[in-house]
Amino acid sequence: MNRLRQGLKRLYVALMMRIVGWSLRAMSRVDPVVRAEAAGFPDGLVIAMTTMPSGPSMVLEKTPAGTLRYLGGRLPERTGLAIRFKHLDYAFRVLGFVESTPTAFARARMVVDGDLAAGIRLVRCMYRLEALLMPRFIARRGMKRYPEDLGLAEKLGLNLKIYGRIALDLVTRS
Amino acid sequence: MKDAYYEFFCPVKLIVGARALENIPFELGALGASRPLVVTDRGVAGAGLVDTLREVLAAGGLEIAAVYDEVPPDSSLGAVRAIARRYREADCDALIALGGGSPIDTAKAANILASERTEDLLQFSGAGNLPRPLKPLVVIPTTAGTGSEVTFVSIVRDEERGVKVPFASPFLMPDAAVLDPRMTLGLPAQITAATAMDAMTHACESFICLAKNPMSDAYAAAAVRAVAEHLLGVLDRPADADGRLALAQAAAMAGVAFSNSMVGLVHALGHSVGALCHLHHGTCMSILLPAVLEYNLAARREAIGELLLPLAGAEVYADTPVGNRPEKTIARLKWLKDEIHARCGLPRTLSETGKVAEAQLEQIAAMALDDGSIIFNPVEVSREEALAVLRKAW
Repeated sequence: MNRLRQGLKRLYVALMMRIVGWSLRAMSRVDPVVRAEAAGFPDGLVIAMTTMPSGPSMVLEKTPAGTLRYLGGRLPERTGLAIRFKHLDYAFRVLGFVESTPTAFARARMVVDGDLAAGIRLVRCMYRLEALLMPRFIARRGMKRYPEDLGLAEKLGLNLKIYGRIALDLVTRS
Repeated sequence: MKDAYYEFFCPVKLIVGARALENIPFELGALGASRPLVVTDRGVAGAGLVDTLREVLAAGGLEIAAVYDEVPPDSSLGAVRAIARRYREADCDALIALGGGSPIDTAKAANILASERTEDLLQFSGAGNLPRPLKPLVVIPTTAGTGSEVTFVSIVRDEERGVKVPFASPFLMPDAAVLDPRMTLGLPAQITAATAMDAMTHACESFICLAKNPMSDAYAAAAVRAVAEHLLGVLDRPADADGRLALAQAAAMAGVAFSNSMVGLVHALGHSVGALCHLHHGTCMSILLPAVLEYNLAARREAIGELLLPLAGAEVYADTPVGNRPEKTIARLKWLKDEIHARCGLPRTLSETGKVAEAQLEQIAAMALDDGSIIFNPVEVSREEALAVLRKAW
């Protein structure tokens, strides 16, 4: 039973890592907030989020065009920023909205290697992802403060754009 | 509380009090070292502290193998490389950092190059990028504020790119920190005040930020009490060795507290003010602390109210209704700033420094949002809110 539970957790984390990667790639193209944040990453920066000791993982790269490219789930040899959860359960708690990202940082649930300023920027992108793609009552559990100025109409409009872009990216494999 | 969790780590041996320097030969010997390189700056060397150290160590049978006394005020990669070269040329086997935050951080970074036998320091920047323990490092603070003698962080200025490069690893923690009152007796009043307020800020922020925990709270409260009890007395009587030692201990305790619970918005803003306006870090902290506490007040009323006890003493605490204690804490810090200003002229506002232009505030606010400290602030900070805090401190 325990092994089954761990297996399901691993599956969930792997799925969420992929969704985060796809979503950030799409949002760096269609959401003005993430687009502005992504533009602030150094060109060519490789960003990895992974679970110790051997994944699941997701890897992004900042392109010269200012967007994020999803490189898949295999960790490259060198990264500019790597956020490594110390245990599968810690990753599950954050990606399952049991524990907020800042609380996870405060509890040292993950190790941040590399460009710390980029790490803070990535956290803001994650907040935006949660605020846009999750229902408000879930998103609030992942961040310090839900953006009060984000109206339902704007949220739904951006949702459509983001999911549309994810679908297009998957079809065109861009 | 069933979900409570924290980590606490401080392996630095503290050697504190009268004739503490005399213990260094024994400590280095226990670490297998006999040829230390002393890293310091011109001011410390000019004050005769290197000579004092040399004399004390020689009497204990330990000769200083080499001295590097050209560490610049904000540290630099050039200095780090020069120290590593000096270390190799003089066949050294340990480092002694003698000075304030800059010589200590520079020595920590130089220890990376000396230990890893490389010239490429930047490959180790960021968090957790050191693969193994470094050479023995003993730190002797000559200011009482940074707490760098007990932290796992070093920040070095890259003079070519104009940015500050952070290094964070448990291997950067010194083997020992030596707090000897002889080393801080000659510190000028304004530096004494600024560095002590740096320690006060470390303690206050660690007491209210997200990673606070019972261990860091204990160190933080003790540090607040020590600064509140001794700072004004030391400014009135600079030769008060007991008061000086109490401030040095406060700085170390605050360092232990914040390296385990981290700091928040005061430091995020202060790092940016320092980087853009070259204002002394402790002065930034002193100016910004009350304004940031007011900003965080709604989210941290209880913790800020608890700070009143170590800050103002039992009588004031007991006389203040529970609901008024948070505001009283902030008022007390403002009073302390005024008292310090009256004694040594330490600026109370950004405008009083004469180094910060009002037009720079927007850039400072934007830069602060990318600072690593900001994630530990209890309130999520927008650019507009950061700017509002800066305007309040203006």
